[in-house]
Amino acid sequence: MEVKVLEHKPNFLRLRLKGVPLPLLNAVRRACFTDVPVMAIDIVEFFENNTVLYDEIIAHRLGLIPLTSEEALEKYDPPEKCRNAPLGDPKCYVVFKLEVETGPNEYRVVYSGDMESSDPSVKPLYDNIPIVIMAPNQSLRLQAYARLGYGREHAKWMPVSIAAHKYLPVLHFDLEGKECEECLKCIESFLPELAKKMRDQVRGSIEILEDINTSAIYWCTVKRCGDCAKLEYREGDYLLKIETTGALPAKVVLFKAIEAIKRKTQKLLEELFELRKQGLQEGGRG
Amino acid sequence: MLVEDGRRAIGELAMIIPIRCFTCGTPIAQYWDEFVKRVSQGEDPKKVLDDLGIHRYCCRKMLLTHVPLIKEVIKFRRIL
Ligand SMILES: [Zn+2]
Repeated sequence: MEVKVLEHKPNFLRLRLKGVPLPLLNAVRRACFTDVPVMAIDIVEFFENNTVLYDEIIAHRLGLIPLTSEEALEKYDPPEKCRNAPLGDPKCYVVFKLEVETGPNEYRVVYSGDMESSDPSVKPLYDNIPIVIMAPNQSLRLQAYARLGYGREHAKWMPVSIAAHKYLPVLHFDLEGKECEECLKCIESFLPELAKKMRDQVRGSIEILEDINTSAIYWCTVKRCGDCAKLEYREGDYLLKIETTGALPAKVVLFKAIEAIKRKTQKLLEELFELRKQGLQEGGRG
Repeated sequence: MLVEDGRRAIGELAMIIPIRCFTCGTPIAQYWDEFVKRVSQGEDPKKVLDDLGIHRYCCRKMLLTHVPLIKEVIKFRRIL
């Protein structure tokens, strides 16, 4: 197995993986969505709200605000343990307070930064997300409880907005002694550098490692290129792309996803072992 | 006070700027204030979106087509 990092920013990660079984890679990708816990507001208590948005709408908007969760993963109990925890349990819940009032002539936008968190390591990732706009003489008082959760429960607990893989596109071409101008023009129209490379090299293969959509190249090779160029989607050679919402760094998401798969396979093995033991016992009796 | 041109389809679904992109789930509401400010100063929305680093067209449509109806609704008193 060979893994190469193509691009690495805090919230973005692109990898090239060679010799990885596709089902395993897909499992990692899906675990990024559903099995990596992040913090999100889950329960909201309203004490007062006469703004134009109903309680449910505000609660929904609060839930979607991304919260910084990297430290929370260590600090707080996982979702399984918190299922029956009482509301406000300090091992499970982070409490947010929001209290805003407007004067007789005041219009005001309530931002995510106006919320007060009980834990400074869990706070809205952005302070300028508008929650509601208030008219004069209105008041909003609420208390919100955030907890760790899994993406399979609700999309607000998904740490990634994109986790995708694809076969590595490889462009094979041989321009020698052929009429290939139409083909090159077609590719030049959207990827001038690639067409230039083709002209310079005349024949060979180019691995397209950049983060671009190759369906247009495919169209060109099929409709315009004849036997000048051919696009191959190479088996066993994959590009994985992860873009997070910002709640967790991309690297952490990937590692946590792999951990989750390990944990699940371990559990499967234990269950199988248990079943086999039972089977042997029953067989012995019969 | 609805918008005259063809931009109302998605904007009307939301009274206030949605916090995340409907399609991919990326948070986009944090860009709203800057987007409105710069576009109302006469900048090309395309350029503003590029500057903000919003590349996918699913996320671009969220800001581009949004109509903040809450500014109209806010004039009325809530009865419930
Ligand atoms: Zn989007």
